[in-house]
Amino acid sequence: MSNRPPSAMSSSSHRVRTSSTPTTVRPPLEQLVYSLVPSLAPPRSSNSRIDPKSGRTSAASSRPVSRADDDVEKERKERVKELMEWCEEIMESRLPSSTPLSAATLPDTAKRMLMQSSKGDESGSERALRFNGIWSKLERGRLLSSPSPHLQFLLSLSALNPTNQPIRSSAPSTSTSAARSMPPPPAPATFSSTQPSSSRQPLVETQMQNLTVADFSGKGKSKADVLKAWRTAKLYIAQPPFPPHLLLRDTLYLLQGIDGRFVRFALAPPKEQNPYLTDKGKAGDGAGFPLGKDGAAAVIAEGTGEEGEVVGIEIVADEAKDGYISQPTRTILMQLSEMGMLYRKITEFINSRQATEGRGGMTEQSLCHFLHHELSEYHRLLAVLESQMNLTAPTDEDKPAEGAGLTLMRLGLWTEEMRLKLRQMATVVDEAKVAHGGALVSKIHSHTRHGDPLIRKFTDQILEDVSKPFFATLQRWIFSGELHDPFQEFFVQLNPENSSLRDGQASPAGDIGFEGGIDAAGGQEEAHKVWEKKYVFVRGMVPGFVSEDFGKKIFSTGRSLNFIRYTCQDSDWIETQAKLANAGRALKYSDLAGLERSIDDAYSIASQRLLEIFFDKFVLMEHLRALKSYLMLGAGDFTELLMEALAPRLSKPAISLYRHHLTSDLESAIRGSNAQYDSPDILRRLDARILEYSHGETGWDCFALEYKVEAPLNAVLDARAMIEYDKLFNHLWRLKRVEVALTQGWMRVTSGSRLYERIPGLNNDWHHCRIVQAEMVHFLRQIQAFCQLEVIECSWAAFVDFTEKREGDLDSLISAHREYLDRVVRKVLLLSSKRDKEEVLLDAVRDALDYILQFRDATDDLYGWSLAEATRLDRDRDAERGLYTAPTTDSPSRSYEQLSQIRTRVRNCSINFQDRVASICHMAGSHSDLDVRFLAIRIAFNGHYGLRRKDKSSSAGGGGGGGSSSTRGTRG
Amino acid sequence: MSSAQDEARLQNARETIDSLNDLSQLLQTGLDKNTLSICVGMIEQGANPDTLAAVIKELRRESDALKAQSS
Repeated sequence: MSNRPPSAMSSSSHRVRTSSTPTTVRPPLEQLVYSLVPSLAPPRSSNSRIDPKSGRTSAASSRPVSRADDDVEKERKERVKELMEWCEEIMESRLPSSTPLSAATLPDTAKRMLMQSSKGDESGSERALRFNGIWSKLERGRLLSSPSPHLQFLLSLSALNPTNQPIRSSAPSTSTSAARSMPPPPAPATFSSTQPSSSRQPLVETQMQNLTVADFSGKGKSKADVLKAWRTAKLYIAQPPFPPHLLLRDTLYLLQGIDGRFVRFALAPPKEQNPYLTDKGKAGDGAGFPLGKDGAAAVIAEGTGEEGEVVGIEIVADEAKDGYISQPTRTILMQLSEMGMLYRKITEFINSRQATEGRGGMTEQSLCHFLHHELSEYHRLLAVLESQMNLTAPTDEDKPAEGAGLTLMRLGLWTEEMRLKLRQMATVVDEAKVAHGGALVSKIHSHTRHGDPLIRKFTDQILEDVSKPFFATLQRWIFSGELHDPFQEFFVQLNPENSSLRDGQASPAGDIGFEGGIDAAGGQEEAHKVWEKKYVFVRGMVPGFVSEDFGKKIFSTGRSLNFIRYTCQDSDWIETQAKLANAGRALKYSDLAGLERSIDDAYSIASQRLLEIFFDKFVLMEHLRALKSYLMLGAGDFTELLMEALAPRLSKPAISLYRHHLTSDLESAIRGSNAQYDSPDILRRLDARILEYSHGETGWDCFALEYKVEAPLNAVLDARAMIEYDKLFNHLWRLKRVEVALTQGWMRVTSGSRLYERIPGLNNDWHHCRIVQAEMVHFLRQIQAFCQLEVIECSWAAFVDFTEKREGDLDSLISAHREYLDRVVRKVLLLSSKRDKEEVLLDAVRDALDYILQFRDATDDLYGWSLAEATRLDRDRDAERGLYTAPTTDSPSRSYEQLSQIRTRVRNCSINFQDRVASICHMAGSHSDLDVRFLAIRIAFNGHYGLRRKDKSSSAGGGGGGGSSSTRGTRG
Repeated sequence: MSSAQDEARLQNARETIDSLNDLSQLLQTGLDKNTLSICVGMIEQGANPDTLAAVIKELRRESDALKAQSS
């Protein structure tokens, strides 16, 4: 590759040599000069081939005459030398070459140029084709090291090159004018000097052309130039810019929310002529424009409704007179004026809140206080800025502010932080308009997760202030159990439904009805209601930094304290406790961990104290034990005595019952049993009561034992619980009564058996009776054992386990007791989990119990008849022996009629009873409760009822038939 | 042998110059064959084509100026 150029060179030089002078071998540059500027060619070599038309050369060709031409020759040589030097300088100048790009894209560039030039007889595409042919030939030819530089060279000279065109036309004109003005061309003249700057001018220009040939940059001008040109083209360039110090002063006014002289706030006009939505062409005549894009949207969105809302600024300066305010300046003004708008908004808020003093709530008041404080900071900043401006003002006329002083840009920069703060405050103000109290606090708190640390910190500051009243209320609430919240800002509020509970004074419980007992509950305020309903937990007001569980804890703490204070009348303890707690620490927002800790402490202290009060002072457990032993018939001796004492009375119709009889019987039962050793406080509460009764009911149906509880015990033993206890007593009492009846019947039958054993034909009857009686006793025993041992004692044990731990607060105690009671009721009453069928099993049991009673009546009758029959037989025997006997009124036939009636009754009762028990076993066997299922197994421990049921289903009335056959057998 | 080789090379060079001349005319550079061959030689020797083009423009301008002066 390196040996080729010389060969090409030699060829060209060879040609030159052969064509022109053989004497001197000129350097190619000189040849170039001569060939391009023929007028400067040496006369000797002025061949007609080079430039025959040039007059100079033809004149110079007459060489012999040129004695005087020596000067000309000398000057020519001088010029040539200068030109040569210049050209060399150009050649050596290190212009940035466009070659990196060229190699690959040059042919394409050339083709594109050819395609575009449709000048001449051929079309662009044809020429492009021709170019392709020549180009491929050149590329194939081995002579050139690379055709690309040549093409580049040709391209940069090409007349088709669009950038060459204007230069071609303009360059000669300038150069000619320059050449005309002074004989030596200006460019060479300056070259000799060492200042090439001016001489480079055309060179740089051409270089730029070259660059554009290679598509380096689209236009020859930089963006700044374009902008300048555009500005020049604009109309108002002639006007001077608006004096900046005036604008500055106005801006400072704007920052304070005051209209300036030249710039003022634009108020929202009526909707139909809102210019801010459409772009008014003439900016000069005071068309305002919205704030930033976002701001405008937001402000317009919410502010179009009301008149007088600031939507932007308008410039009222007379620009024709005072000068032109450029677009960037307007933008800055707009951005700065945002602060003014925010300022106005905030001050309006503060003023409106101050006007309605006392209604805003403490949170809002403290918010206002905080805003006030921040605004005074803002005022301070403004004052500093103003003093800066005053410093600037005098010098402003002479020179534009240099190092010190205030400019709009600086104003924007210095107020940047304050702007963020103002924005945040405005947001909070917006929120304060809709939310209030705790909700506001939690809304503000949501900003603490903002990504900007500045905003986050600032929000923390706001919260610190705003949450002060909240914490003050909280402190009073959790340390002294008082709700001091005049504006309903706390998340615990007095229940609006029953404000009568406020003082917590619960009257002693009156009559609590059993069946229709709710009627009495209307007038009473019991501790349970106080506990449950006095305060309500308002979820929406819980501040964001307090989790809901935690809020519940706070709620419970204060409630416990309040309860201790008012219902348990233990305010002394509260006072000391509150003093202790207050001395320790003050709650505040910045110390959330400490807050949690102290609330946890307060919570455990208050709940512990409340439980202590219940267990120790009000001996809750003793009461519950009394309920268990008296109402649930746990104390057997007492029950026995009571039953014994009451039985004769209760068998009478209800109407003949008197309460004082009942109470005296109760008294005697207590005296006679171990119950006398119980504390008088408990015994005092025990009372007998007659329920409402209807016609025909006996005393059994309407007797109830009652246990009176009053505040604060009825927080746990509420009316509902007492009703359940009543239900339990009712059922258990019935069981007991049946048991007693059965026992007495059995005793009578057994002890009297000697009397009637001699009566013929009754053995079978009595045998049957004894069998059924045993069955009944078995059934009753199982039921009672199940109630007392399996249900009541087990539940009691679980409950006692819980209470001994003394965990949780009163709520958990209440719920534990409720659980205990529910469990007992559900199992004792054999309630099933199915809706509507809850009491099916209970009804069956009651029916069975009724049949037992009927059966007992029947056996009593049978016993009576047996006795009568026995005496009749005795009499008959005496008569036979000749003893005198009183005449009998009844005839044997009639008495046998009675016997058959009694037999039927006994049989029916026993059959019905057995049917009931069978169905009870069946139902209980499929009960959802495992214990009840176990009861079924116990009752039918040998599968007797299962067999019986099968028999009955296979042959209907089989059992009855068997019974009748047996009785028939006895008769025979 | 050398003369024949020389002849072939000369022929080759001539063809190349002719091709370049065609190209030059196609691109309307306004260069005559002589000047073109000088320039080709210079480029082959390693001259920067851009600067060379600049030189040629300068020289043309100079020539125009001189012509105008003389006329």
